[in-house]
Amino acid sequence: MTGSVRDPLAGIAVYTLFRGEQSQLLQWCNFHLNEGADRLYVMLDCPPAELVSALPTDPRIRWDVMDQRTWDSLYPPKSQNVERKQVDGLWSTALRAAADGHNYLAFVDADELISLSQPFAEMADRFRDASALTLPVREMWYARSDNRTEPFGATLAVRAPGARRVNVSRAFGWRAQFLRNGLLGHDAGKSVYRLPMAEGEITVHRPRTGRLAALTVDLPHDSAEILHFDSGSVATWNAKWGARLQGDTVASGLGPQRLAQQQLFSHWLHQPPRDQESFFQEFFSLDEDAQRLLADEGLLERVDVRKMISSPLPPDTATDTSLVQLPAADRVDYQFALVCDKRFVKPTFATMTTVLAQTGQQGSTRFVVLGDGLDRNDVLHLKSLEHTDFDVRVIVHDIKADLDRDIGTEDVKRATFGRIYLVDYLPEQRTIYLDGDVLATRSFTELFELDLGGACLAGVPDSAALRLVANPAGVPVEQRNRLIGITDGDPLEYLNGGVLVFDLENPDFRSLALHSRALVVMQGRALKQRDQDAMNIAFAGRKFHLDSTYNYMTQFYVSDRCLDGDLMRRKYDAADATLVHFSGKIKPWESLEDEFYNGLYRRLVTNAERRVGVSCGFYFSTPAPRARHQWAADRWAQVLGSRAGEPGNREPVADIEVVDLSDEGVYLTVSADMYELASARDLRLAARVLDTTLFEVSFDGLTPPRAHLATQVKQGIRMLPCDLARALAICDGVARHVELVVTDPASEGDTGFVRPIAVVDVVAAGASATPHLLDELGADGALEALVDGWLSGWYRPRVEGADEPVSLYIDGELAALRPPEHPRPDLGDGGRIRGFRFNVERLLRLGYGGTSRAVSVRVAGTNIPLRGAPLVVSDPSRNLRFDPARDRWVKAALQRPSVERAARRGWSTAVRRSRGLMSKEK
Amino acid sequence: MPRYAKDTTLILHIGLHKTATSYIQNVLSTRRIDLLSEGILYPTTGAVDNVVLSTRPGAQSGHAEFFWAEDRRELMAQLLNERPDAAGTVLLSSEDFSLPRRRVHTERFLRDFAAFGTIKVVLVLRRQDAWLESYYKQFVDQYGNFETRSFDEFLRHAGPNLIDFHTRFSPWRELVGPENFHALSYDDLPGGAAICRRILEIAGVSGSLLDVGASTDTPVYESVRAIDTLGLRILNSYRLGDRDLRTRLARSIYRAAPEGDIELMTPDMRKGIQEVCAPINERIEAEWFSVPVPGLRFASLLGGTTTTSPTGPEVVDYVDQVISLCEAARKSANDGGSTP
Repeated sequence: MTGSVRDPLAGIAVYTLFRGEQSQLLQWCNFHLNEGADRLYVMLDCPPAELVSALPTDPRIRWDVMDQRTWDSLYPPKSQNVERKQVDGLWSTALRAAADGHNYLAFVDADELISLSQPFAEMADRFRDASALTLPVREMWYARSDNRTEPFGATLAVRAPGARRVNVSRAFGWRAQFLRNGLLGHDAGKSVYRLPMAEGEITVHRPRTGRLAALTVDLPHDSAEILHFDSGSVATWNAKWGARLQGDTVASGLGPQRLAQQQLFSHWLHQPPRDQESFFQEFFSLDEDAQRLLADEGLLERVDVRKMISSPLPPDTATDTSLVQLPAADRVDYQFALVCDKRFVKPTFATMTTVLAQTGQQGSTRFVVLGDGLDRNDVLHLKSLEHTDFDVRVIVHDIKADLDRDIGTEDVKRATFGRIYLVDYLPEQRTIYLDGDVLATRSFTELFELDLGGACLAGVPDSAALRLVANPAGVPVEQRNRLIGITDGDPLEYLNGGVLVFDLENPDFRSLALHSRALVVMQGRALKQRDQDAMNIAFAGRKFHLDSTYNYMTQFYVSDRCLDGDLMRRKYDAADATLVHFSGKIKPWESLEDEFYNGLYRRLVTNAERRVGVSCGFYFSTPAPRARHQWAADRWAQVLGSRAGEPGNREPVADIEVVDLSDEGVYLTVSADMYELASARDLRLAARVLDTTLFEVSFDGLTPPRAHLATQVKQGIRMLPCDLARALAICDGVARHVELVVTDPASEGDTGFVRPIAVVDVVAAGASATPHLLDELGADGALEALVDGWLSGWYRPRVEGADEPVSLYIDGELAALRPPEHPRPDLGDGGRIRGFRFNVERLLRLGYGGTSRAVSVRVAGTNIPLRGAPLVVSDPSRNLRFDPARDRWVKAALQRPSVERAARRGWSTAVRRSRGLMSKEK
Repeated sequence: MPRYAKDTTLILHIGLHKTATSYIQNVLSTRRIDLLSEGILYPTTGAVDNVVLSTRPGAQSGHAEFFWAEDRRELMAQLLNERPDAAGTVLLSSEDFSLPRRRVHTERFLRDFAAFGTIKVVLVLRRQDAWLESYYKQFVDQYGNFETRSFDEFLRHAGPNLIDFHTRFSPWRELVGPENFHALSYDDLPGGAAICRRILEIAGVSGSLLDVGASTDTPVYESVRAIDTLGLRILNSYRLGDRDLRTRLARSIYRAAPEGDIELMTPDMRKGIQEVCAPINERIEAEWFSVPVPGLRFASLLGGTTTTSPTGPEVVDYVDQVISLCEAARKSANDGGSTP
């Protein structure tokens, strides 16, 4: 597609927010310039001085440097994340681009290239009324022969399969578990916006609400695409993910797959550069088989952009491409891994306690626990081992989100599958994994030194395998076939997952573990024992058998099937086991029965509790030592500080939001942080149309929050007074495509960055604010009647189905604001029209308005009144109705008009429905 | 029909507990008429009269009814009717406003006061190592909590939710705006009279009325002692439903306690609290205060107590007496007879 049309981007300006490597930036610029883009607007986010000084000059490129001071002056600290900067940067740039005379502005990242198969001018002409055109994505992967040191060196363009069912595992192998909809990155697309931008909200991908969203057109793959070089080069990959892991870049809302990628990349970023390069090559490349598979499905194309990125801007030869290696975790003498959910916290703690009792004095110990749905108290209980006399550290990771993503929520015992995530969380040294129903009877640290002969995984054959070997006829056929199939005919190769030695120092371990995980994620439902089966399949040929003493499965030995011959001998030979696995269905901590293994469990636990000085909390446990006598200050601090600073369950407050506009001023909500920032920095609110500033007022004039609007509108409404009529006088009282922005004194005209907060399609003031503008707005509505103090009317929103609010004013003061709620089928228009009611009499008695008592209802945010306004209410008890034919209010007849009855019915219906009193929609 | 007060300012003194709130409420209610002359209403609506039901003389909780009422609309209507037209400010005070409640969000709570044009919030903070112990003692004393936990249990389980003042009270600041949120530091003001003065300044009072605290003879009540919590915990374990009975028993328990006192907060507890709260309070100082508040930041050592501990036999006798009182009360209640 790329290169087949001359200057396909003519007619578009392109915007990006950039932070990273200069060579990538220059190549990005070159591509779009060569494709004929009218102009590039590049906003550099806190660039180093040397990058700024080295930027080349080109008449088609505008460089804007955004230093941290600029961000800090307009955004409270908690509001600064990458997405916010990108979106607000787009709005700000759109203003400038419109003033520069451009009609379209595209928003892409600096690792995305716009590729069109036809001139943009033709597309724009075809979709003349579109507010935005959204382009689908193709993700760029490397072929084996591609140059991985270039950010745009990948040549294989892969598209998402869409609704078709495609077996991505076959093409991507173990990497498939990290894809979403067949892509590593997003598949949401990127958009080209018509200028000036219509009202509505946007995300980094596309419009989200308002007219912007309603009039967006999605382009098909054969017209236009975004080529997303998500991996970049090995150097840019290292820089991007390193910055995220170290918190230098704050990206909000990483999706589950992205989080999984981050975990995977985190491991490699802690490895030496050469290993990072090897991993990068393996992960981001597609071999010939994979290419063929994808091409057969129509998902792959070859795209080579190298010729289009080397000029006209000179390539940067001074780029530092050295890879950063993040510091590794400390080593300990003995590392153990466990997995548990809430039900298994006490047993898991018991396992850890017995291990510590037997091995703790021999060296430093680290327990890594993966928890599913553990709460603060559970974590504190597990970490209480750190306050014993042993050198021990307990690290608890929350894997609930991983399990939700990969396993689902149906299986209450899903926590055991958490073993598949250990590879992401374990510091890289030999680790012994233990189930939470395994207890140690003696030290077993010899397993840390055991020569595994090149194997990556060590364990004891599963009891099912032992049974099959001893007595094949006594084993169900399905089980037999399963074990034979998994182990390729040697069932003793099927290891039990209760006790495992992970040799993470073996270079092959990681890939096999990831393969195991891929099996669970992609095919888990087809595996009877899920992760245990997957592990045995993935590690085939790389397993070492441990002696039964290291996993004595009590369930097997109490079974009636274990009665004679080799198995009986085995039972007693191995009875003095090192690690006892209480693998029965009824667990010993649940059963009061005085059975042998139950008693063994209780004895082992209580002995360990005494030795370590803790309580496991079972009914038979040693009582916990009294905190006030035993706890040191650091333990109190750990307990008390575990919730300190945790955010509550509140929704985050937008730091500044425009609620409405009126002749007297602007109604806003402003967070505490933003209020203080505005005061400290002397910020202003400005209204701009292209390059003209209609008004600019200091936030010093903000009133305190209007408590009386809390119920009628929302909490925290303030008013910023300004004379809107005077401001709009230069455009005869009506302004279109008005951008409301926050500026600081350093911003002058369109040269400095401004922080956009709202766009209004049409706003009017003074005598020009009349219902005649409703047509231009694309809305309609009218007041209908004032009956028993209630003012009713109807409204047809600009965007179908949208909850556009209307606002009630009394003598120029905002009194209420809400979306019309009940349908008005009597007015036709396909159900688009909705009715509203306001209790004007009550509001007047409460002191709203002044002496003239002029009531109007307006389209919120525009100051444009509905028909029938204003209504002067001299006596609220007088019933009136609006006569549209005569354009005046007249006395209402005693019989309420049908429209009012319908309005009342609709209102009653809406109220009752909202209170849950109606069982189904009508 | 309810009136609104769009041009009226509401000052909400929300506590904390154990920051001289009872003292302040006693002063303000005593000088109610003087305040009215300055255009400030300290209403009787919503005030809870605890004379009969308080376990110790002088204790009160101000306008607590506004916090505890299920439906505040009637109460608000009464309040607005009580307000004279000349009163441009209404001052409500109750430390119960600052109690942590899971199911009631601050914004819903403030919405009930939306009749007023402007709302200002006054919060008196106290360093957490001193505050927690005082709060615990009062918590054990209060009817309805049935608190039986030892102090260290209480600290372990409830402490983490109570000590982070920044997280707890940021929603108030967010809703009324930083210019209407006034934080004071109990540890950096020289007593209840000074706190009262600051509150009145915020309310717009000027002149000699600012010093009502110092010039008003108000009842002072003795705080709960640590030894008293021992007996009260035993009382609470009986879960007596009759408040009147429980109050009388509590008074007997106070009288029965031996001289001297016991230690509730160990040095390690205190140190742990300070370690966790120091950065929180530093942040509060930076964001909520315009002047340094070293007292809140644990800059000074707390004054130590020099009382002796009761002897072992004294404690045993005390416990015996408490149990006897409680057993007799329960038996009597079960028999329907008179109470001791």
